[in-house]
Amino acid sequence: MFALKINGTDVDVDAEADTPLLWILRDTLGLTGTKFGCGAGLCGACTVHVDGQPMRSCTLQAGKLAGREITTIERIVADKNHPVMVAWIEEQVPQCGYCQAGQIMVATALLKKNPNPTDADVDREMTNICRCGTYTEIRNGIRKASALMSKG
Amino acid sequence: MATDLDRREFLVTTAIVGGGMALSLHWNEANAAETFAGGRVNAKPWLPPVEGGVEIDPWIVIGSDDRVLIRINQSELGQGVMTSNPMMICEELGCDWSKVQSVLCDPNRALHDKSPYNRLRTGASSSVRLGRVAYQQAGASARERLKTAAAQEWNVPVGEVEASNGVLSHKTTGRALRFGEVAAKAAVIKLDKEPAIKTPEAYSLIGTRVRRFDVEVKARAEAVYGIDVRLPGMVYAAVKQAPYGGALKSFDFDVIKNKPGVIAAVPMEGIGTASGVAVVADSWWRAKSALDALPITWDRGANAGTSSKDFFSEFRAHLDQRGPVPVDEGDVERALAGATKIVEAEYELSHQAHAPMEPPNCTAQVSADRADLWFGTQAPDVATRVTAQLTGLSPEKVFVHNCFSGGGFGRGGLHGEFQQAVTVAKAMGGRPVKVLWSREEDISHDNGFHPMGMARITAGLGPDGMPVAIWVRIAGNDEAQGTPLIEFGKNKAKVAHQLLRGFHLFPYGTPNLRVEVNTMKTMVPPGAWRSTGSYANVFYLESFVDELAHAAGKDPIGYRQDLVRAASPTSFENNAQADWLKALDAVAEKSGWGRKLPKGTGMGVAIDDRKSVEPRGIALVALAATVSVTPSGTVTVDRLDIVHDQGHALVNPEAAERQIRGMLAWSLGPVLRQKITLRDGVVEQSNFHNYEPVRMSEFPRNLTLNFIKTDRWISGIGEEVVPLVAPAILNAIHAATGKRFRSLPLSDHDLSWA
Repeated sequence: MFALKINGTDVDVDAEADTPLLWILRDTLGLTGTKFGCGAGLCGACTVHVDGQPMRSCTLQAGKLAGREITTIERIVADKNHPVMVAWIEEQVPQCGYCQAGQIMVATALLKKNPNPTDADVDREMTNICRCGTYTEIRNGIRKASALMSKG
Repeated sequence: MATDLDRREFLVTTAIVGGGMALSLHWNEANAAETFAGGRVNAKPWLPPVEGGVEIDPWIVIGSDDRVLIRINQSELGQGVMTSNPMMICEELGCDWSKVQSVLCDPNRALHDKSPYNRLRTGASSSVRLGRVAYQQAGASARERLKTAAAQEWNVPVGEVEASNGVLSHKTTGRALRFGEVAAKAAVIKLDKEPAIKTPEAYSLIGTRVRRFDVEVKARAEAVYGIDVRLPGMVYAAVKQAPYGGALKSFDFDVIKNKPGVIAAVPMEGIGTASGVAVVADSWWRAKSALDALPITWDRGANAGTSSKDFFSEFRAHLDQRGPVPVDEGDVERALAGATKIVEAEYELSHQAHAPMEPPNCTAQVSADRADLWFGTQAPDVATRVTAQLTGLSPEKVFVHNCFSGGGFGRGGLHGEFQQAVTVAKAMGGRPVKVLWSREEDISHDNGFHPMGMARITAGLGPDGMPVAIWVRIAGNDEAQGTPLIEFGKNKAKVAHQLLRGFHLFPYGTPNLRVEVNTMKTMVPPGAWRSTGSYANVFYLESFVDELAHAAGKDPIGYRQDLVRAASPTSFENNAQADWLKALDAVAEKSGWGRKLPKGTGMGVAIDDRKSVEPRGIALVALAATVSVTPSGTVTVDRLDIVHDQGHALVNPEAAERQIRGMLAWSLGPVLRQKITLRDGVVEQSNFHNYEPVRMSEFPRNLTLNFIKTDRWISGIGEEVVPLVAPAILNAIHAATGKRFRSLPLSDHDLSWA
């Protein structure tokens, strides 16, 4: 049993401490917006924010995250006007859509740090895999979100 | 279904995220309608956004508030079918598009009601090709019945009633009725004769840019994929499958039975290549951890010592001898003997995996009187039939709930996961179980890899550089291994049609042509992989014709055009000969072909029209690639220019363009570094570090996508670009470096040129 702070709420979790955060989110807490893609930190489908930083939850041992602020896609999209989510709809980014929660989490963290990223910044930060190949639309989505944010 | 477990999940979710999102994570199906009342699709796509309404037709339900629900007999893999199928129906229906919703149809109903849902498959880019006429007809029939209902109400001739924007009106009297007001009456009206459907020039919805219905639930992370399904009392299973050609010998459950949450270990036998063992636990991570600790002994079978290089040796040996000859024109050997110049090249392609982002999974619940399956599948009909066989239930008692698919690419739900879920669920005494593969299990056991193959092509050129003879020898796996071969040509050669694809109507003119096709079998199960047989054959042919152009000292585009002109018009399906010439002109123009390029940069081209041995229409595509290679051999794809057939119309250009761009990214991986190989009977790749798709930084920003209008309905849009990417890039690398590569991926080769 250990405690985690997820989306602003303290929760007690009954699981082995070395369980990856991803499976606590999905199986224990039912927060299935965060996706399983590879289990090895390679694809980014499982990206969450830990203290504001995008991290791949499939390789984070949950028991070591006491006191850290964990944010999942559910909290991001709870804001119906979230610029990244709005941009993703405006630019019609998803195809199968499976990787997009992870993409949105990385894009959100990127834009927070760097509200006007260059193409090179986007290339460097957006390393998540999309098998449908929505890379053009993801890039457009980030541009759109950046514009929405600067309008305030 | 508001069980205690449902309520607990609901509360946990509420506590964590707060606000409106909690509702979307509360999976009480009864409340789904209330939750998603405003949406185009339900986050659970097998359920309608709103219950109720009057069924006008098995495809069309109209609500009293004029909502139109369209049932979809395909699967949503990201191609936009939940939007494009309704477009084809609503083109005729005359409803208000803003009130249209869609739902994936119930595959079980197809068992009782054969006509509407007779084709539940999603694949081969067929949703528009095989569906359009029936969808338009369904929409037109429903419109006429609605008009008839209004005409009866008003006692006026039906010819005076108009249907537009969900309203039926009678001009001379100014009367109007909404669709929802007459739907019940229309539902029982039978037409004397079917109305004619629109021809393309009359379209007002088809061909317009329409937002896809599934985007919003996906961008909001509400969409339910198979992996996300949670049921009361559900347990989880992790699986390991036997090496190909092998079988499960034994395992020792005692070693893991006391591990936390572990419930059972279930042998899975008699389900072909998906046989193995499953460990069941109260969470997937616990199941997987226990499985990893489970001592398992495999009988590795006769193929334990077999590797990919052995298959290639065997294939190559077949290229050295005479194989079945489906195409034999003139006298190839004599013409080669008299040729001015001989060009010969040998090509090889490794297996490829599908690796959709959503790892294979299926949730199943099996009791004495019914079986339920939840997963995303491209073939719910197959799942229904096979589940009936595995459970002994009649197919009418099998219910497949088709979820959003996290990618399909030809694999979608076809290769073992549902058979395993049913097998394990049978052992769970009515408890639902979710079988989920690790990514390692997926990549090493795709169970339907793209076939490996080889080709040797020999040509003789005349003094003018034109081919006097071409001899094509192919040895490859048949993706449909086990299904009957076709008999083709005057020799009635027995071949797999996908291995012959494209060579059966040879687009490049030569007086002497022989095609030999050896249909090979290995213990590695092949399957359909986006673009199927064209992938290999276009790679071979478009690489080779480039070699011929260089041997002849001609420009690769101009040379292709000379060869197309030299071919007989009967070598082209759909009278496409002139279109091939135009497409090559267009791709030259759009790509800036022939412009001066810096050292180490080059351009390459490829063209194909996807014709099939079993005619299903064509879609002509030409692709020009511009690549640069550093002197030390690092390659960058700088630019891609596509010319794509749109035929009479694309249903939703918005979706078509996105699929085409996406296909370029999908196809780049196998060019740059992806391949599947076996060593001693075991697949060597296991995850995205050694089977790595391209990422954003590698995907060119410089793309042009150009559609050409032709006088045909195209064969499809979902895979046509894939086969062109490898040859266009390899031809460009040759132009850039002088080096010719005849196998993939490029990571196997030294590209340095300084």
